[in-house]
Amino acid sequence: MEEKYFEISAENLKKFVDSIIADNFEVIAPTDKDGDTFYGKISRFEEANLDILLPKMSYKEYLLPKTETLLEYSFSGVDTEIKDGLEAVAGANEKRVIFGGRPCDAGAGPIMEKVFNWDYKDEFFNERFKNLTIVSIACEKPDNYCFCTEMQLSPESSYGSDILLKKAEGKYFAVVTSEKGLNLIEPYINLFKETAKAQVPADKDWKKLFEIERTKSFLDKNFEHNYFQDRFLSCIGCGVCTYTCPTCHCFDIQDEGNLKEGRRIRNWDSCQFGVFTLHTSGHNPRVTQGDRYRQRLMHKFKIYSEKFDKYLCVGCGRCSRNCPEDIDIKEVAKDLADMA
Amino acid sequence: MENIYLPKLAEIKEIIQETADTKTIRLTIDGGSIDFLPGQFGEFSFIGEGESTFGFSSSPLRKEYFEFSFRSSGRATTGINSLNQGDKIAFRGPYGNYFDTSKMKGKDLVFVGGGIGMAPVKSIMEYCLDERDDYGKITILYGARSVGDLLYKGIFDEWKKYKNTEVIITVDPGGETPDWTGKVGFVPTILEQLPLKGENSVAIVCGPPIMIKFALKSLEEKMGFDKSDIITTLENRMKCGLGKCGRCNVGSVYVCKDGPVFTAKELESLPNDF
Ligand SMILES: Cc1cc2nc3c(=O)[nH]c(=O)nc-3n(C[C@H](O)[C@H](O)[C@H](O)COP(=O)(O)OP(=O)(O)OC[C@H]3O[C@@H](n4cnc5c(N)ncnc54)[C@H](O)[C@@H]3O)c2cc1C
Ligand code: SF4
Ligand code: SF4
Ligand code: FES
Repeated sequence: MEEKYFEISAENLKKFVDSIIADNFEVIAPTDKDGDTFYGKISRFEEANLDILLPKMSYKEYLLPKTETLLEYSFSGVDTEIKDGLEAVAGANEKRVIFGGRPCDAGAGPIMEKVFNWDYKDEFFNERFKNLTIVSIACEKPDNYCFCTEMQLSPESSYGSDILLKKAEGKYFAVVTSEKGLNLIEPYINLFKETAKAQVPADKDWKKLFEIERTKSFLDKNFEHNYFQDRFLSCIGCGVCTYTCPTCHCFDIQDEGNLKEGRRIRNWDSCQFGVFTLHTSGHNPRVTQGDRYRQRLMHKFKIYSEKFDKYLCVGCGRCSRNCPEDIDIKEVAKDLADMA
Repeated sequence: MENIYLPKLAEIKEIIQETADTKTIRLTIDGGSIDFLPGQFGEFSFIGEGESTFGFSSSPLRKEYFEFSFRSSGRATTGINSLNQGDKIAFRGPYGNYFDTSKMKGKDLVFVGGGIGMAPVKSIMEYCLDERDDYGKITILYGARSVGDLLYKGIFDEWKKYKNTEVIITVDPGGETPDWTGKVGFVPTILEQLPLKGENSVAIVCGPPIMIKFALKSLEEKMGFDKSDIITTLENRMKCGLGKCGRCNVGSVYVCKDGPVFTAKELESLPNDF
């Protein structure tokens, strides 16, 4: 679809959000909880925290839940009954809107979508992804951990958003990029005023600290390098970086239940755990945290980009902000680029 | 909409207790085998105890059943181990690439298996034996730690019946019994004693990493096999088998999609991540 542009006052934006909630949309927005901010369901516009740069976690769980039921099973006598877990997911998210997320989080969806659709199609992901409507707000002040600009996005990128809101002089401009976005505002169109692209404030000239292509070219040439073993000695392998990451998608599959019934689930997993690759024989291809963080870097900045376009990172900086050892992936990616 | 994680139920037709901790299980779906190729693998489970990755061990040309051999080692395999004839096993697959027989036709073949690694070798080997006239001389070398650890003991004689086919069974030093009539020695050591030549030959080698390492060295350096004529499998830990769960990669290669079958030449270009 060709982009469309609208203007909306702050007051009308509030009305818009309250109206879609009244019309039974489930609106997920950054909202304060337990002294921090997370994406969660809001019941009024005021519950959204639009001042926070980024909620603690991304909204990955609305695309790839922490735990998802792949199938349910039950036994009766010698018979095994299997119920397809996909049935419960069909039509999921149809009336779900992510409101007030940031361009980096919006960028993560289409990046993960490729993984779940090359060759085999993962309809659990697809069903959730295709129905979700994403209304993001451009960032005005990225912090020192952010590096979306280096990751081919920008604080004002509309990539992955159905609607991108840009704040200017107390009002908002809405860049509508998809039919889904247009369908969402259509019933409330009197709150919006269509305008021309030229009226929308131009993007700022965001500067890059380094070129991610150089990070990749270092990784292309250096699998064995002391940097990995030295730099990640302090990593405690907690996996926080992978859990908070909007693009990390690795999962485990387990059965849980009793002798009569149960379910097969997939759970978020982490390449930072030693058991992730442990063979039954006791052999482990990745022995040190250096080996494991190298895998994380390789996957994000080399392996993914060789298979698909782009990179498996949107530069949100969550892994760095939340790392107990203050390992900053932007600094690391820059170090690698400098060494290339 | 298809759920790619949804297994089919297969019925256990026969269970063969191979050793104290390994079994071969023959399965049927709709009364027969399924379409697969030697070298491919599947996800097998006793539902409730989780899935396990196993290679097929039967020849796909034997249509009455499909088969895998496994060692009881953890939760999922202990679950499968507790099943009886007539019980159901959940199965999804086949996945991965396979041994390309078009590159083996007309050539001499050497099959080398160590321990449970003999399972995938058995599949491609019996496939070739089933079409015996398509290949030159066939040499089968199989070793285990001890006589008690040898799988497929009941069918060694069957393999020997094929024309122009030599079967050599060995056990590690100390693993022999007083009445043992086979060889004694590690697989790579026995391999080196065989009069094999690399030209117009293909070698298929599966087993523990240390065995593979030394066997590959002998085949390349002592017998002059071309690296692209030596074929092996990788057994990186897997969950999905579908290129999604992110567990099995070696550098940019996903073992579940691009493997598990690789030539020695292909392995050479991979980073040390397996
Ligand atoms: C392509 C491929 C083909 C294969 N083919 C065969 C085959 O033909 N036959 C065969 O027998 N095997 C084969 N394997 C290996 C087989 O998949 C595993 O042995 C099997 O999945 C183990 O399953 P399990 O759930 O019973 O073991 P698990 O419960 O996963 O345990 C395996 C071992 O790891 C240990 N372990 C598990 N979790 C942890 C943890 N959190 N911390 C520490 N230790 C832990 C357990 O104690 C146990 O010793 C193959 C593997 C691949 C990838
Ligand atoms: S969050 Fe930090 S300490 Fe934890 S696994 Fe990631 S890099 Fe290591
Ligand atoms: S790797 Fe770090 S910076 Fe990149 S998307 Fe994941 S959490 Fe954000
Ligand atoms: S086993 Fe899941 S990606 Fe290969």
